[in-house]
Amino acid sequence: METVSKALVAEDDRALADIIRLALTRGGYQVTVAHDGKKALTLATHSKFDVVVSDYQMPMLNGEQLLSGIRAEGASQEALLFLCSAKSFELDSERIKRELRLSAVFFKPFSLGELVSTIKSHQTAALA
Amino acid sequence: MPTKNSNSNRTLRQVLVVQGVSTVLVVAAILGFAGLPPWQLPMLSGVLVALLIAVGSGFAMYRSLFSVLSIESRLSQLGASSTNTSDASSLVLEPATGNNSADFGWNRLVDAGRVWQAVDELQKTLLASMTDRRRGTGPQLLDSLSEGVATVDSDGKITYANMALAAMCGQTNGEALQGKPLAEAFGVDAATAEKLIADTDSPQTTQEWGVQSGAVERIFRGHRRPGRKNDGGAISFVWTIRDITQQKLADSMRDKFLATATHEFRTPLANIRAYAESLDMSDDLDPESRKRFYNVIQSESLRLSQLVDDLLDISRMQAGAMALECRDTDLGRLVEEISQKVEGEMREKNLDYRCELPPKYPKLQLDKGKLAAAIVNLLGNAAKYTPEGGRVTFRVDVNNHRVEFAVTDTGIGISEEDLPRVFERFYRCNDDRVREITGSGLGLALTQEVARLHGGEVAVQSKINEGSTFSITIPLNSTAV
Repeated sequence: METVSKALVAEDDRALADIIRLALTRGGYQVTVAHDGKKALTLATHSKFDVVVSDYQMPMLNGEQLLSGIRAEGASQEALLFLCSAKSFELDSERIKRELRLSAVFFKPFSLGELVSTIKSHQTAALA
Repeated sequence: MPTKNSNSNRTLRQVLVVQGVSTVLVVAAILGFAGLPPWQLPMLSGVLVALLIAVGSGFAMYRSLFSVLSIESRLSQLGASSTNTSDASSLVLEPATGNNSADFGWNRLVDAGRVWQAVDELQKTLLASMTDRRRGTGPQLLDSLSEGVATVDSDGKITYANMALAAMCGQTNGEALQGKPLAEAFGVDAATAEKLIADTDSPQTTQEWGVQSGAVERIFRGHRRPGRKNDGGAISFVWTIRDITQQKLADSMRDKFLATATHEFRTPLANIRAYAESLDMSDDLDPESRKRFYNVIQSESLRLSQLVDDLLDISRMQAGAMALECRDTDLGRLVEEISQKVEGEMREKNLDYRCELPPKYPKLQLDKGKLAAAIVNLLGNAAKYTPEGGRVTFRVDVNNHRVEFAVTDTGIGISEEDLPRVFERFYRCNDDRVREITGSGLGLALTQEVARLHGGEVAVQSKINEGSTFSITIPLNSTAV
């Protein structure tokens, strides 16, 4: 029996969180949404997620702090991590990507189709 | 050794001898002819004519020669009386009083000499004036520069500093810095001092260093160029130093603005793109979802549009080009419209929104649109930074002199450090709770400008974690700018 991958979306912009949830659900994921970093970390620590998609600028904990916390300990330590950001040159995305072993960084505005296909390809590569 | 004077006397004597010999020869010829027959009389006539010509020309020659010799003699006397022959102006040129040709010639020479003396004097005066000017205006020019200029010796000690450099070092004149090492004059740390020490072998270089001045760090950029002695040995370095604190601050503000503006543009764009893509890709969407998607695109477009307007207003404000369109305004109606605009937001966040309004409003000449936007901005901020269940009060107070619009909230408040800067353009408080909420940092700057253009002012009182009160006060006799 094929298992459904679990995705956690951490995004404080509710409209964007809703549409990412829809896209991932249509892509076959079981999606949980958190609107701030702290709530997302609690969820990722206690439940095992295969994929975490996080915004950078969020209340309570920013994206870097959240993904760093997920990598440090908890049930989702080995999840594929994706960071989305509206920041540009002031965000040292290469450093964050290297240090937190991120699969990819997306800069807003990004294509939902591309987001879903990138997540899927990384998952496939990880399973191979 | 013969002098010019004795030479001219000898020449005169020679002329007189020649003249005498000619006369003797002519007389002898007359005597010779006396015993000759009459047919030889024409010859005598010729001799007499020759005699007359000889006497006349001799006299003319004598006169010319006398004039030349006389002038030469006077020039010789003039030369002998002058101690410095290279200085023409020191010669005393006295005209002759006689009427003979020598006197006329001499006087012409005196006139020409006086003209040359005047030209010489003028030349000297101009030269002296230019030399003095160079001496006087050189330092003046350097002191009028906004850039600091200093020369330092090979030990790094200041040998000259202009006024601007003295001011950079907290001194009123450059003399106070002479002999001091440049690094000491600026009060820099050891590492920076190392950079500023002159190295005779190094080529020209540019350095930047910071100096703590109270709570502010002043940044300087100095360009050092080696100066050379005539014999080729290094004697000094010339520093041109500029205070670039404001430039650095402006650069930092521009970077922050770019970062904020980019972020603020990207967020609604992300929604527009994601919802548009979903509409395009999802043929099976139910009509209700489809309508919701369109609404999101529309509201995010409005958000972008508002951001563009704010940026344009800020830009106009910076250029001093923001103008009001004042008309007779019904204040009661304005307050009503403002409340209608914000009530939805207050309700959505479950805030206790209260209005405290006066029984009567005066009519005022106002730019209704801009003032309403300023007050809505204050109410919007109150709603954004007040946790759910908090209270926001909109109070309008009118007396004989002014009308005050005050917005009080029970929100997160503003720290003492942030409070003086909240009206600065692009400034956002260093509070994570503020950073978590989107905002460009332009709203309060625009509100302040709108109040100022109406002849009024804005004020803020706040306590961290307890809440804030922002107010706009406009005089009733407001003469809008």
